[in-house]
Amino acid sequence: MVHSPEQDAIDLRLVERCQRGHADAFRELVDRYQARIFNMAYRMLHNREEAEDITQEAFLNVFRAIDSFKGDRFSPWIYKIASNLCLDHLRRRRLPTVSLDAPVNADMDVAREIADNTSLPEEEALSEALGIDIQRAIDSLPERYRVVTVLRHIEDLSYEEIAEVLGIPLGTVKTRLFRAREMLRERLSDSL
Amino acid sequence: MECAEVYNWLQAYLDGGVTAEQERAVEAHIRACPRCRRRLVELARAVNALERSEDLSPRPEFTRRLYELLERETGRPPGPKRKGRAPGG
Repeated sequence: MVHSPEQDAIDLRLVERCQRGHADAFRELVDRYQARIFNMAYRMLHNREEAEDITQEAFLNVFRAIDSFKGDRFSPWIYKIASNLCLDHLRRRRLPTVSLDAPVNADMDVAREIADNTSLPEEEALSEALGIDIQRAIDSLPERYRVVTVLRHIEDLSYEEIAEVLGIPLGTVKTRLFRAREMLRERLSDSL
Repeated sequence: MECAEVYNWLQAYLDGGVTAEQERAVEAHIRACPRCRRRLVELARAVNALERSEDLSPRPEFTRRLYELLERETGRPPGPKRKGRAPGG
């Protein structure tokens, strides 16, 4: 488990150093969290560029607000900022912005996937293809189920941490996760 | 125990979130019921597929771009150290 009390203490020390004006401490926070936040955003959005944009925005928001941070754990705070950005982004994606010559619906997903893969090195595209079933299954989940699933099974957060990050009751976390896993089971039962 | 009752417990069983008594009841049921056994195996496989999925990192230029933006925010470099470490590595 990456979110141990020892790791929390290191985070807090770095936050305090940031608050005292040691800018290099923020670099260490970026080093510690950028892969995790990017990975979460990628699994939520299934788009590399958008995931990088969200990760960047999350760190800029953290940087701007770090002087006012008074919590006792940094990790739920950055996950809260990043997951809210992902959910806002997904909501915006649903707005009708498609131009006349753009492909629609399923074609759009395929086009985006091809665009993603062609920008990657060949070997990475291959490993991406191997994981495509699970990513497509994640994509198929309603957003409120998707975020719980990604935080639990990709980011390894506990139920309690997810409740804190999303600001929802523990029972709701469990209900959403159980429903999400049932949906994934149905979707994956033919391919696993 | 009925299948419908087990249905509600399988998820908690997967997470170790049932009592010892419930655990014994679930296990007795799934030994005798191929349908519920299959469902439990499929659930466990779905969870494994999620947890085995590859960890991805941002592209190498990502960190450099982020620090350029932070420099613009503060008007100074984000730190004296320039280790040149690969992002996410």
